Amino acid sequence: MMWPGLAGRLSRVLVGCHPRRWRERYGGEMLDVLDQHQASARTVLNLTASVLSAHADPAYRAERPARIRLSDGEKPVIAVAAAVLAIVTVIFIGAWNDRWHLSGAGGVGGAAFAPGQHLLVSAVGGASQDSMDTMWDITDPARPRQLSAFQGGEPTALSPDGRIVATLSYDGQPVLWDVANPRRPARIATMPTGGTAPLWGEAFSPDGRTLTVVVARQEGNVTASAFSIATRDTVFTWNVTSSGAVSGLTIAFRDVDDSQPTLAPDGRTVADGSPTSNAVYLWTPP
Amino acid sequence: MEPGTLYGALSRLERRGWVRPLATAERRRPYQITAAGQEILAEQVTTMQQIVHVARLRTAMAWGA
Repeated sequence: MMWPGLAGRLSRVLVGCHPRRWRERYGGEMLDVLDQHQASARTVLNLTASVLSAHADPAYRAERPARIRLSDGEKPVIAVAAAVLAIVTVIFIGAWNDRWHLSGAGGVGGAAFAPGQHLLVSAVGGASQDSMDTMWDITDPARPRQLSAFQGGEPTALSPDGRIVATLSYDGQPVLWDVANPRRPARIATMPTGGTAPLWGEAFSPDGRTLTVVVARQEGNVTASAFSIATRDTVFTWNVTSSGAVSGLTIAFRDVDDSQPTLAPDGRTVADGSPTSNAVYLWTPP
Repeated sequence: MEPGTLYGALSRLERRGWVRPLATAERRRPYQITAAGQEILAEQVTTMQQIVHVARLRTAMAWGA
């Protein structure tokens, strides 16, 4: 649940805002680079500058879409709206990053623990591929003891019995790790979610028998006058045994305009909300 | 380095013919310096060397470093 999603999504939309010829040449590469980059407010500002300079570049200017004609009355309204939107976006992303990036890029990538257990998993190294997950014994929270380290990705959930850790690997797939012996973590399985859509939530049910994963598949639509993000929130649920064997996948989805879904800690209820809507929708996959 | 800065620089280098892209391998795109790029780089290094040389002389004169 530590996905710095908004900056990443805006960055992807901004790549799509470059002139057509520029996109054809560099768009795919940039998206690949973004996949391995920890997007922040700085990334969004930097890409905004890149979009503006590419559009100002004579080599790409010929590709510019036809201008929209605005009446003199509309111009100040649109200018004020754009300025307010930009300020709100920067503040929002700033707050978002403060919340999730405890010590900036390369810092703690995430942590997971389970009620009643004396284990904590943390990842250090942000989204870089050489980061390590660390298993901690937090019997005395003031003096955590390091038990082991493994390269698993971002830890997102620990099963209630403390035997399985679900992580998000750096290629975007949920992975299960057997930590029954926390000194020797072992990889159990990669959970197929059919792509690398941003993962927004991952949780074990209180009895530890099911694992739920929420991803948001999105498609940005950029036109000369507006941009919108169509999202399909998809909930994957697997049965999991205490040894980590996985079976019985069920999939549920809901189409929303622009969603940042959140999964309740019990792994049952999904909350859809977005910065652009004034409502939060709660739903439970069947 | 932020991706916008990286690709701004790469597109300028490529347009001037100083680097050229190679085939993509496993989602990585290597770029190779061209002969023209090597020439420019050598010129740049020479200029920088001259700047360093002059700076060393001046600081040595000023405080004997």
